[in-house]
Amino acid sequence: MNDLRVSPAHDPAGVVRDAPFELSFEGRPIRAYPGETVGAALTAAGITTFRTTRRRGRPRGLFCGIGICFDCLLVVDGTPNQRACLTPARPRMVVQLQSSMAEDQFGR
Amino acid sequence: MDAEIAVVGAGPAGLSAAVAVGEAGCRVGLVDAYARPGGQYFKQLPGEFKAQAPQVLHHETSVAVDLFRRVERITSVDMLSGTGVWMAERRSGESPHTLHLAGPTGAFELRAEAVILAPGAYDRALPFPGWDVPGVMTVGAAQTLIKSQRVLPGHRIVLSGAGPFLLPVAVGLAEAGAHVVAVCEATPPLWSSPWTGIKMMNHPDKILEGVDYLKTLQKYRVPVKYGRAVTRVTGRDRVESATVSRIGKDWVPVPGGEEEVQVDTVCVGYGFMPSNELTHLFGCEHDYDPIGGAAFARHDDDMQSTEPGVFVAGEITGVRGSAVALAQGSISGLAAARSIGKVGQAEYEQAVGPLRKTYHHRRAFGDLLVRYFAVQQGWMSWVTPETIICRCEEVTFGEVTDAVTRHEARDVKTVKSITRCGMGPCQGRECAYAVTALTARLSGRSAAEVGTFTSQPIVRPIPLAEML
Repeated sequence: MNDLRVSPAHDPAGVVRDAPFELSFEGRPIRAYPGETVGAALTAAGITTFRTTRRRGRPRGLFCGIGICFDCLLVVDGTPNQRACLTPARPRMVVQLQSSMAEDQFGR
Repeated sequence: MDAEIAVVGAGPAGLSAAVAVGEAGCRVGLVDAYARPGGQYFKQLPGEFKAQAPQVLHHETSVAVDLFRRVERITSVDMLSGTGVWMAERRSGESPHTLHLAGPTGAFELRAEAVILAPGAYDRALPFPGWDVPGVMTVGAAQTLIKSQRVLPGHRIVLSGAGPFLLPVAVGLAEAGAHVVAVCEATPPLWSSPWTGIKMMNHPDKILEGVDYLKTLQKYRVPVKYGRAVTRVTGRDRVESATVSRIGKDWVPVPGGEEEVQVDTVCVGYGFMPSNELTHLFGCEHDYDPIGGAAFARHDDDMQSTEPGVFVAGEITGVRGSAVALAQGSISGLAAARSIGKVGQAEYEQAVGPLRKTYHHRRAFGDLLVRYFAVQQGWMSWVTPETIICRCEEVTFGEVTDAVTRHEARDVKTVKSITRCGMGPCQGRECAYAVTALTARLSGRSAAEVGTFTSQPIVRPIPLAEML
């Protein structure tokens, strides 16, 4: 596998995933496995920038990884402010970079 | 919905609390923000993954598995996963403790006679130039990726922080196939302090655990560099390189002690911050701990806070590790059950005796580590006027400096209202420590005097539609 998923050769836990599916990120197909978060699937594909900031337009990505920092916000199926680290990846999900924060529409 | 006891958090403390109250015959609502119970320490693989040997990902798998089984078996425990608390209050009446929740099916209320708060802690990151570049993440984020998602955060990784948590994560990354360039531990090695070394002798199992990690890192040729920290990161869309600085005991960089390392990922963690917003909302009294760098809810020997019926357990009482959390969880559960008449006094005393012993023994170990690996003030010399301090509102060190020196802000509250730091969606969780420390330094006052952000009634963002 040419992605950042732990390869079976380096996995003493012997994790086996079910059949993969695709979601799209900025129109590009991304492979994901059942049980993965959007953040993990994007990280595995080498994508690190999930949004740009409101004031300075700076790129941001995963930071705390546990739903606290709200840095990994993405637009998922049209809904902004979704935390990549907690949102489960689903088949045919349409994921987009979030270019600024819609603060009045915060999602879970 | 109603329960006799509400438990918030399904990590080691919350799980052992839920088991104790559940086995005492109470109806329990166990609220947890994540898809599967376990918290950060007992974090599970997703249910969809199959693993031949999941136990290798965990340190104390048997303890975790036992707790998961017991919680599942007790029919009076209602597990509310994927559910966050956005407000908490005490009302009048029979079940006064009210939690306002948002879960998979929308918003609802959970009312209980007593509540046990075990919301845990999160990594403390310290600001430095470039800490907002994608590819810089907390040590905990890296651990979550490898432990629960089996995805590496990057190819070439440097870790920087203070405390023993760096070691298992570096081991996990190296074993999973990442190139761990170095582990930078800001503090000198434990064995360089004879006093701490002698005290450590009371905890031989913990010494062996540490030695085990160091041996594994040696096997993977991962250098552990003491008295070093990543003080700058370059890159725009992703990390390109990191500056590893030799730092003194005060954490001020030593001139000429800089080394540039080519990495795509930087993991940082300087201890932990307690998730203490719910204890604030319930009106519990807190004590500021200058060594821990945070306010912790005051509690008695029965784990009851200063508010009757509000019990606390685990990291929010002081960040002293999972063994303390497990013991406190059981004590708080038994005490909560006793408070509503489900456990008798004699039974309580008998059960709590040995738990208290474990708790005090492990607490002493936790105290030792927290004190030894405490953040030193010199980190404040890593930041420049352009360095982002509040990640959400993009408030720089220059703006914080202005608020204190030009606008004469004398406390964190004023700095917040001038600069907007701490007003973003993380609600100050990520910058609280830094803003308190910087405000104290700039104004010449103590951290306790300048204070910190106070939790507002809505403790996490929630769609307006769900609140109404």
